[in-house]
Amino acid sequence: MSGKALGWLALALFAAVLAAFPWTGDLIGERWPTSYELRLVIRAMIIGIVVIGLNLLVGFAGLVSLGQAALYGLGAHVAALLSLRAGFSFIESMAFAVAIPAMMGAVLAFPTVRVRDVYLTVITIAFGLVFVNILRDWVSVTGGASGLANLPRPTILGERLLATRAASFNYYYIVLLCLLVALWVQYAVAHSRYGRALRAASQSENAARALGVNVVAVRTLAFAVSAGLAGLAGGLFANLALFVNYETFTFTASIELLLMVILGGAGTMAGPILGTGTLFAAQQFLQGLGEWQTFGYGLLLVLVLFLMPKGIVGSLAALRARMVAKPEARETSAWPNWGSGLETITAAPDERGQVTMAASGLTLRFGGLTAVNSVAMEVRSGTVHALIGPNGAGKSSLLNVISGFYRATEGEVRVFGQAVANAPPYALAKLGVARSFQNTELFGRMTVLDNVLVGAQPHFRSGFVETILRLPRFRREEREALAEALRLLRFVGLSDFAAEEARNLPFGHQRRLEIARALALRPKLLLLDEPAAGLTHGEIEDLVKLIRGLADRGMTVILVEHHVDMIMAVSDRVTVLDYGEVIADGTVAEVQANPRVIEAYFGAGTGNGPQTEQTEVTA
Amino acid sequence: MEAVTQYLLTGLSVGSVYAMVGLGFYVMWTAAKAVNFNFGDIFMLGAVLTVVAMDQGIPLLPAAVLAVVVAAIAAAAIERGFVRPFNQEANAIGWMLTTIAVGTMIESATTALFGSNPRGLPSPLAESPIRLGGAGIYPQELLLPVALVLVAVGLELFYRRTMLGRAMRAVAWNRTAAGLVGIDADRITLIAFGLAGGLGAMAGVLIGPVVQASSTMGGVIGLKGFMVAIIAGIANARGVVIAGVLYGVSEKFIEGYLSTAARDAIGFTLMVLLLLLFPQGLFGRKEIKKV
Amino acid sequence: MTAQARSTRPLATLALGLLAGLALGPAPAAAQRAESCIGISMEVTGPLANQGLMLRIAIETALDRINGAGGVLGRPLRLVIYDDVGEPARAVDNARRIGERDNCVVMFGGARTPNAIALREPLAEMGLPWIGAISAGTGVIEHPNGRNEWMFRVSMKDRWVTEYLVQQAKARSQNGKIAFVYEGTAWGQGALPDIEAAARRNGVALAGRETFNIGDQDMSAQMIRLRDAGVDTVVLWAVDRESANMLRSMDRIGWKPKIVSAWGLTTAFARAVGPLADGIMVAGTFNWNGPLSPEAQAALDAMKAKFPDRIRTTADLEQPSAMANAWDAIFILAEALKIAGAYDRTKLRDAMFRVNYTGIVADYRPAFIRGNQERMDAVLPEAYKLQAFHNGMLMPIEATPYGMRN
Repeated sequence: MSGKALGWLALALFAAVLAAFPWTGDLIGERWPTSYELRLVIRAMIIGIVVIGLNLLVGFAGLVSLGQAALYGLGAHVAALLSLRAGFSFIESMAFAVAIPAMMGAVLAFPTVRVRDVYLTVITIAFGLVFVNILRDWVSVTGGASGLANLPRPTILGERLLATRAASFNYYYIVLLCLLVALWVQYAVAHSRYGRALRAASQSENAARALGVNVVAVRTLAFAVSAGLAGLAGGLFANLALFVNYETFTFTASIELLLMVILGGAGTMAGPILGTGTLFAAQQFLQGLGEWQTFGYGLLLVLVLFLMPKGIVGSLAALRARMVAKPEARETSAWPNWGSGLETITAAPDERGQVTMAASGLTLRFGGLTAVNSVAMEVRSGTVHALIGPNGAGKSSLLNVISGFYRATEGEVRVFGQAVANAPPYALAKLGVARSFQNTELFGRMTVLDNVLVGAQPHFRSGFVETILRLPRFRREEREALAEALRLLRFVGLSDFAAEEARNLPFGHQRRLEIARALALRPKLLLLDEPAAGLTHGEIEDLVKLIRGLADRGMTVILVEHHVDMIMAVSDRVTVLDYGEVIADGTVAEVQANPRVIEAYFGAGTGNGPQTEQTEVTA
Repeated sequence: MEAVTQYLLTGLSVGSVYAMVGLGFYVMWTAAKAVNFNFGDIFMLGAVLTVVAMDQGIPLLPAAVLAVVVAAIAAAAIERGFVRPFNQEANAIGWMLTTIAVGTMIESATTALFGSNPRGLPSPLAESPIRLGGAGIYPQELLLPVALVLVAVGLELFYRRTMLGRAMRAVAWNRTAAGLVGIDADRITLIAFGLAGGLGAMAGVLIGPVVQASSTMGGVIGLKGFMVAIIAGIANARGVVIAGVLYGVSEKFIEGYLSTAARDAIGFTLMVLLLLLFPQGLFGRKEIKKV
Repeated sequence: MTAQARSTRPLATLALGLLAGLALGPAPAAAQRAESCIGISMEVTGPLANQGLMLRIAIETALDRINGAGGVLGRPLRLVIYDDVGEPARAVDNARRIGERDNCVVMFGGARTPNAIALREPLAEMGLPWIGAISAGTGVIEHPNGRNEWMFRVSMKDRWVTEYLVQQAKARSQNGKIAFVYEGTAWGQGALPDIEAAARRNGVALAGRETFNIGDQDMSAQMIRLRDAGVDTVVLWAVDRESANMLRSMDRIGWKPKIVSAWGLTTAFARAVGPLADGIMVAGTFNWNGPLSPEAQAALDAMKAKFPDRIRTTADLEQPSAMANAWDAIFILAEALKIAGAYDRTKLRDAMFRVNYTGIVADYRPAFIRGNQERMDAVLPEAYKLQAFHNGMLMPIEATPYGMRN
C-alpha cells in the first residue's frame, strides 16, 4: 500500500478509536473511562490543535515561536470574557476566539518575520511574557491572578454541551471534530503552494524570493493560521474547564507545546498527534516519581532529543526508508530535451530585438565601497548577453540589483519598459525575471519535483479559502503545475530523480535542477550567475545548447561567467566590467580585441586578450 | 529627588545583574552562535551552592569561589553534553530545547534537594546600607557594578590581546576557517561556556546576600539577561554592559512613575520595539549579507 | 442569546434536561460507596513545594496515630498524593482522579487558593467532600451562588483575617496611616477587597496600597511611595522570599514601619533577613513555641519521631498554623467517618455537620453548621492568634517584647 493511502487509513483508524473511546465502558463492562480519563483525552485533543498550528509555524515555516501559549490563552480569555460578561453564545464566542488570536498572530508576524532565528524566538517569548503580565495584573478585566471562574455552560441551539454520558458526550465530539478540522487544515496548507512556499522560504529565503514567493506575506499567513488554531483550542478549553487564569498559559506551557512538536516530528502530518499523546502519557506516568517528577520530565526530554532528533514520526520514517530501500536504477537523460510543450518556454515571448532590460547611470555603494559605478547596459530579447570581468568587478552585484536583491544607490533599471528601482525580488519574479545563484540555492530538503513546483508560485490564482476547501480551480491549477513541472524535469533530464531530496543530487544535477526551477517561472528574462562553475566539459556543452535554445525561442538571457570558451560560443553581446565600471560593450570579437579589456585581465604590457586556448581566466 | 536617587542606585544594582548575565550570553554566543537557554540556572547555582557550602562550615569567601568554580564546570559540561551535539544544524531548536530541558532538571533537582524556601546568604557587606539622604544601597550591591566594569574591560583586553581571546573571536566569525588554521574550535567553545558560567555564577554570588538564594531565582533573570544581550547587539562587551544597566534603571523608573504591576509588560514591549528599530541591536554593526 | 431555539425542540430539550438532572442529581448518592483513602492534590513540586511537604508531614503523622489505634471503622485510612504544581488546571484533573479513578471517600486540599476555587464545580458534580487546611481565600468556602455543599475548611478565612489584621494595625498605629502591601497572586489580589471592606468597617482610610510580583527582587519604588505618604503601619499579605526582599528595600531607604502580616511569613523569612524580622507580627491559628497542651505536645513529638531529619526543633515546623490545622482536620475527618458509620461520601458529608471535637487549634463545637456556608469554616476568629518574630523565632506575642504595651 502506498505511503499516502497508509496515512489516510491511519487517520481513519485514529478517528474511529477516539470516537469510540467514551463508550468503551459499555464494551468491557466497567466504569471506564471515568470523567478523569475522558477529560484528559479531551484536553489532549485540545492541546493537539494548538500543537498542529505550531507545527505549521515551526515545522514548515521554520519559525520557532515560544509564545504560542499566549495565543492559546488569548483565545481562551476572549471566549471566556464574551460568554461571561457579554452573554455571547457558544458559537459566537468561539468565532471571536478564533478571529482575534488570528489577527494578533498576523500582528505578531510583523516584527518576527523581519528578524532572524533566535531574535524571532526572543520576540515571541517577550510577547508571551507581556501577555501573562497583562492577564495577571489587569484585574478588572481578566480577574487578575484569580482568573475568571463560573463561566456559563456552553449550549448550541439550547442543548447543553457537556463531556458527560448524559449529554452523550456531545462536547467530546465537538472537540474531536475540531481536531479533525485542524488536521485537515494542516494537510491542506502543507500540500499546496503555501506549504511549499513556507518550506522554501525556510530553506533558502533568497531563492524563494527570486521565485516569486512573498516571504513576508506567506509567513504572516502561517502566523495567522497557527494563531487561529491556537485560539480555537483556547475557546474549547475555556468551555471545558469553565475557568481560565494565566497559569495555564505561561512560558513553561509554550515550551511544552514546542516540545510536543519536536517530539512528534516537526514538519510531519502525524507528528503533532504523536507528540501530544506521548507527552501527556509521560506526564501521567511520571506522577509516581513524587518530588522528582519534574526532574524525570526534563530527563525524558533530553533522552528523546538525543535518541530521536527527528521526532517519533521522523525516526520511524527514516527506519522505514532504510528497510524498504531498494536500489533504484535512475537514469540521467540528456539535456536540453526539447520535447512537446516546450516550443515556447515563456508564457508570451517578446518580439526579437526588443529592449528587455536597460540600465542607465546605475551606481551601487556599500558604505565606502562602490561596487557598481554608473553602469549603462542594454539587453535585447532573443539574445544572450554575457557579463564578464575580473573577480570583484561588480558582476554579481549588478545582477543582484537587476533582480531586486540590492537597491541601487543611484541610477535606473528598466525591465520590460518598467522602472524597477525599489521592486522586491518577488515582484520582479512575477514580472518575468528569473535567476540562478552563484552557490546553488536549492531547497535542499524538498524533493526535486517540489523544488520545481515552487517556481510555479506566481501562476496560481486560487486563494487561501479555495486551497483549504480544495475547490475545483485549486485542483486544476495544481494538476497543471504538476504537469508543467514534470515536463520541465524531462527537459533537464531529471525525470527519474523527481522524488529525490535536492541535497542528495550530484552537483551537475543540482545545476540542472536550478535551471528547471527558474524556468518554471516562465520567465522572459533569465539571469544566470556563473552557471558553468564546477561543471564538466560535456556538461558545459549541454549548457551552451540550452542557453542558445532558450534565446532562439524568445527568451533574454544575461549570463555572468568566467568560462571564456563558453562565452565565446554562446553570447551575442558582451559587457565587460572592471572595478564596477563598464570598460567595453559589444560583440564577442570587438571585446576580445579591446585593449582596455586586455589590460584589465592581464595587466599592461601584453598584446593578447582572453584567448580560447587559455585555461579559464581568473584574475 | 531622593526617589530619583534611589531609583538610580537600585537600578544600577539590578541592571548590573542583567548586564553580567548578559555578558555571559555574549561570551557564549560569540563563541558558538548558541547559548545555554537556561543560563539563569547557572546564576542560581552560584548563590545556592554558596549557601550549601557554607552549611558545611566553609567560610563565605572560599564557599563563593568554590560555588563559582563548580558552576563554571557545570556550564562547560552543559556545552559539551547538550549544546555541541546539537549545534551542527542551522536551526536553533536543538540546543534551545536541550538546554531548556537541562535547566528544568537543574531547577527541579535543586528544589528537591535544597527545598523551595529562600535562604539568606550572610555577607558582612549586606548588613547595613549606606545612606545617601533618603536613599540607600547596600555596599554589597556596589560590588556588582565594580565587577562589571572589571569584567567588561578584562573581556575586551582578553579578546584583543591574548591568543585564546583572539582564537575565540576567530571561532565566532568562522568555525571552519578557524579549524583550518589550527584552532580547536570545540575546545574553545567549551572554554567559552565555562567562562560564561563563571560570570553568571559570580553574579548570583554577588547579589545573593541581597535577594536571598532560592531554587527559582534564576528564571526571569536569565530571560532578561538574554534579551539585554540581544538588544545590545551581542557585538561588544561595552554595549551589553550599557544596555543592561540602562534596562535596570528603566525598570525602576517605570515602577516609580508608571506602574509596578505592569513593569515587565512595559519593559519587554520596549525591548521588542527597540529590536524592531535596530534589528542589529543598539550597538551592533549592520551586517550586509552577500546574496 | 441562547433563548432562541428552545421552542423549536421542546421534547428533545426536556428529555435532555431530565437526563442531565438524573446525571447530576441523585446519581452521586447512588454511587457513593468509596474507598478508605484520602486523596490530596497539592504542591509536591514547584515554588511552594515546601508548603506541600509540611502538609504531608502533619497529615501522615496524624494518620499514623489514627491507624495505630485501629483505623476508622475497622480499616486504615490511606493517603494518596497527587502533584498539582500549584496549578488550578492540574488540581481539577487530580480531583477527578481522586473522585472517580481512586474513588476516595474524601479529598484534602493543598496550599493555594485558586486551586481550591477551581474545584468548586467538579467537587459538586462528583459529590466529593473536600477539606482544606490552608487555602484561606474567602471564596473557597463562600461560593458566589451561595450553595457550597461539599467544601469544608479547618483554616483561616481571609475575610476574617483581614478584619483581624486591620484591627491590630489600627490599635498599633500612632498616626493612623495604614497601608496594605500584597503580592500579585490570587491570594494577595483576592485579599484586597476584603481589606478595603474591613478598613471601611473599622473607620480606617488606607493611606496606600502597593503590590509586587513573585520573583521581584526590589520594592524600592513601592516603599518610597509609602514612606513619603507618612505610613507608619503596614498590613502585609505576601510570602517569605518577596517579603524578605521588601524588608531589604525598606532597610535601604531607612524606613521601618510596624508590620502586621497574614500567615505568608514563616521562620524561613526570619532566617533570610535576620534581625530585620524582629517585631514583625503574624496572624495564625497556632504556635508551637511556648506551653503546649498534651495533645499538641504529643503531635509535635510524633512528627519529630516520624520525620527526624526534617523536624528537629519547632523552628522546622515552617508552616506552624497550617500543620496544626491539618492535624485537626484529619481528626475531624476521622470523627465524621465514625459518625457516618460507613465509607460513603454523602454520609460523610452529612456527618461533618455533626462533629463536635476538641482539637489543638480550637474547640470545635460544632465544627460546621449546615445551611450556613460561612460556617463551613471550622476555625473562628476568636481562635486567631497573634505572633511575632523575636530572635529568629516566631513566638506567641505575649512571649515577646512586642505585645500591646509597646
